Amino acid sequence: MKDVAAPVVKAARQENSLSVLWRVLRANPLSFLGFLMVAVLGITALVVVVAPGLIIPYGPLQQTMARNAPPSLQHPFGTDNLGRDIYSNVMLALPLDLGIGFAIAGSALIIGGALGLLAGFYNTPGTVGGAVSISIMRVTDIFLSFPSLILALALTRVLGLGVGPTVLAITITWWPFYVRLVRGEVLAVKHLPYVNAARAAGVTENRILLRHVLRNVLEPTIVYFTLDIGTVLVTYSTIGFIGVASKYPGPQPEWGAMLAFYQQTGSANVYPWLVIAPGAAIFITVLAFSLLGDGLRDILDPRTRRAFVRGTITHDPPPETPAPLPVASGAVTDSNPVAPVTVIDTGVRT
Amino acid sequence: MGAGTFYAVSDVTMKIFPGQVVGIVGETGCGKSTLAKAIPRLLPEPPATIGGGEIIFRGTDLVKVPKRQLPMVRGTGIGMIFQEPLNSLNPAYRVFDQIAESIRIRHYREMGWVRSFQGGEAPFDYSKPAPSTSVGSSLTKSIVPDGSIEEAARDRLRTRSEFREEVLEYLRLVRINDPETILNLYPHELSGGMRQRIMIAMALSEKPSLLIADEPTSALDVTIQAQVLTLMKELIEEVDAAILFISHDLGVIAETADEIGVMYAGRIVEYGPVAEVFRSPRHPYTKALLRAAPSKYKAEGALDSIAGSVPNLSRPPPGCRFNPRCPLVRDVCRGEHPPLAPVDTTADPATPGLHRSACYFADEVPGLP
Repeated sequence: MKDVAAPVVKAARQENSLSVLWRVLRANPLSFLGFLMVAVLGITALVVVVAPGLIIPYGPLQQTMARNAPPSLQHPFGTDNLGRDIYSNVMLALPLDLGIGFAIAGSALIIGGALGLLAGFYNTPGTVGGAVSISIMRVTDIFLSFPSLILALALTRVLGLGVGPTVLAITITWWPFYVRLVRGEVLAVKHLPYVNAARAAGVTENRILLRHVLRNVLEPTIVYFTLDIGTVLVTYSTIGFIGVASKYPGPQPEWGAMLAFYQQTGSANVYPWLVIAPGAAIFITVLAFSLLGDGLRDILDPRTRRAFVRGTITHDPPPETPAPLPVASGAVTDSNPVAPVTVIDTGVRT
Repeated sequence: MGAGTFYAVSDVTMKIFPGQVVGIVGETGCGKSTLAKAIPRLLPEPPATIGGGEIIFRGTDLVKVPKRQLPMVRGTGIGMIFQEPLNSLNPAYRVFDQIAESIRIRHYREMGWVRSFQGGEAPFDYSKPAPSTSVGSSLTKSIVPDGSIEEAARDRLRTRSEFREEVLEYLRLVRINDPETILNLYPHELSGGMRQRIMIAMALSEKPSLLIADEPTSALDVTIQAQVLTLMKELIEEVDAAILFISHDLGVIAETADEIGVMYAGRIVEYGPVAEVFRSPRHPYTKALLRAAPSKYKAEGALDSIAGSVPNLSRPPPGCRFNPRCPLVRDVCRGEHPPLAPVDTTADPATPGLHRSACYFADEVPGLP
């Protein structure tokens, strides 16, 4: 009885989750960069909303004397043909674009995730759940059979121009991907032995879904979600680029619309900084969330999490001699603690 | 029964009493695990169906219990240990959470906070809480001393530290060194033997009346197998539950069981007290199985094997399913499947008629080589 667990990391055991997070991040610099970038973006967006005067020198439509000025200390990203400050406009768009990313991907995650859980778990043919499951999947297939960008564009025309209708239109085209993803993961997880073991222990079906299946589906879903925020941003900017989502120049700038405006007016050919700044903003945001997604994968999975921590701490050496058997409670105390192990191997192997 | 349907298990009859260990042996694919999963109704239904018969557990026919009520029977009523310790623990939770979940299920049922299985004629009377003297809770009481958990804590929601104490007790019960450390580990940090111990602790912590161990040692390597088997044998002595022990290893059954059932192609072909079946098998399959087992008395030469292979259960041979491989086969064997009839044996007069064999020529079996 000496098969004590693999060498145990004593130092790591007492750590709280925050310091484990820190270790994982330190072991994986790219994820760390992603976390850092998302944090900076988030804090900046918060400052822009709460106290724009701190970091935004000009109003979105405010004209200065410097027309078509290249980047300078006064205007870090330059100005356009009417002397509007590009830096101010890019910064003002940050909270909106981040919000759009979270709103669309978040609602798609909640709607699609819930439907995917139901469709994957209660899919026994011939039951009410089975019928619901099939209905969910057929509706999902119908939505997936349209190219989502074209569908979103068409919906935007129906729902009207502006940020709200565009967000709604993209959300309507976006949730089916989550149904597919979550349902597939649920189908894989629900047949694993530990789900049946939980069932054998008397856990009810609903609790199995919420405690055992959902927890193990969460990790790939959250990772997909963070990566997806970038994709949503690009899609929104594409629709913005076509010019149906947001109006630019206007009181509330948006990166895709900025790109579209300067590209269409032809100024971008002569004054490239007009498009470099909003383009780079989209690029950096998408990159930040992609890196974050990779990092989350490592943190949410207990196996990789431990592996990272292992890499930074030395192991306790495995015990040379078997440790004395602990005196167990009650009736087991009189059992011989050093009973020789007899190997019984007289059986039939088939 | 549509096309492609087959009977994985048929005509299996057995009784298991508290404190008794019944072993089931048989080759891979003979329906052992199907039998184990059918008892607590764990087979996925559909596609699986229980076509007929009864599973009487504490006076209730489980075949008739509605699906929604089955969780109440499982765990505290019928516990189970699976053969895949590597995947039977949820990778996302620490050892503490896994065992605490089982303890919590039993605790809530004992308190009457959730509906639970009572057994008897009116099994699903949920209005009153389970009496503390019910068979299930008293059967395994001896293994965890009562004094350790404050008497007052039994009647209210327990705190995390109280659960922790009980989890630690069960970890010690399955002979785990340094349980305080193991408590905080994830399943992937444990070896196969440790995981199987955790599984055993989980099953025992619900204090089941019937414990089904479905090849608990098969997935482990030989030394760990012996350790877990030693543990199982010790626990069988301590736990007063009825135990159904399933294995493909004759040695394991010989060491643990009181009675043995030998399965072949979905049927029990021989059943009886372990000593008697091993001493004088009365079915040609049992005889061949014993001959094929490696033995220390036969150190040289090739092992004996049984010619042929297990029949495809979707097209079983007519009559006795062992007839294509049987040395005693005659025409009558290809007609009706022989009934499981008591054999004439003088070996153990204490249990007359318990030793049964499904062979028309059971009396000729001792004469086989």
